[in-house]
Amino acid sequence: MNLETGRQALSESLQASFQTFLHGARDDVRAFADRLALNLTNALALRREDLADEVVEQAQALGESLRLSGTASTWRAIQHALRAAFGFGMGLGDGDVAQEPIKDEEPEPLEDEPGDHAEELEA
Amino acid sequence: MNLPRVILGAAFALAVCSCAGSPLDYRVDVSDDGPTSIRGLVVRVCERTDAYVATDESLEDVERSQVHASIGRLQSAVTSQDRISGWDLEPLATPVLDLHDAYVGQDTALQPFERSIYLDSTAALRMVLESATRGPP
Repeated sequence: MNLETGRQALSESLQASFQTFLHGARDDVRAFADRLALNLTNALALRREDLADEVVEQAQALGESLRLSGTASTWRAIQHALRAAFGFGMGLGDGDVAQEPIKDEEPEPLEDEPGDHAEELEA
Repeated sequence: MNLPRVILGAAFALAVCSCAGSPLDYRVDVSDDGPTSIRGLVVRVCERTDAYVATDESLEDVERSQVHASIGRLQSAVTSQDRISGWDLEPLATPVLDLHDAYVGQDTALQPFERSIYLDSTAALRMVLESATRGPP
C-alpha cells in the first residue's frame, strides 16, 4: 500500500460510514477520526503496511460505532416523540405498557446527539 | 387495552422510524465485506492476543488453554455470521480486549507508535460495544 492508496482507502472507509453521521458526531469522535488520518500517514511513511491496514480497520470500526449510535439516537428520538405525543414511552397501551421509566427523565437535546435526525423529526 | 391508542402509537413509531431513515438495529456488522464491518479488526486483536498468550510463561497450561478457548470463542462469533447482537458480543470481547491491552502495555519491544495504534484498535472496538449496548437488549 502506498501513501495515496492508503489515504484513498481511509477516505473511502470514512466516507462510507461517516457521511450520514459524522456531522453530528461528538468532539471525541472527531478527534479519534483525525488521529486515524494522522496515524495512517505516519504508518505509510514508515512503510508499515500492517499498521496502515490496522488503521483502516479502526476507521471501519469507528464507522460502525457511529452507525449504531445513530440507531440508538433514533430509538431515543422515538421515545421522546411518543412521550410528547401521548404522554408515555414505548409502551403502547395502558395496562400492558409504559415499561420504559422515561417519564422521570428530561428529554435529551436531540440536536446534540451523534447521528441525530432531529431535522427530519421536526419536519 | 386501548386498541386505537396502540395502533396509533405503533403507526407513529413506524412513521418516525421511516422519517429517520435508519432501522432499529443494534446488531454489530461482522460480515466479510461490510463497509463498517469490525470482523477484520477483531480477528487481528484476537490473533495478537493469542500470540502473547502462547508465549506467556507465567500461565499454567490449564490457564493458557482457557484463555485460548476464550479468544477462540470470540473469533468464532465474529467469523461465523454477518451480524451479532452487541449484548452477545460484549461479554465475549471485553475480557479479550482487556487482556490485549495488558499485554501490549507491558511489551517493551514495541515502539511507542506501534503500541499507540494497537491500543487504538481496542479503543475503537470498545466504542462499537458501547454504541451496540445502548439500545434495547
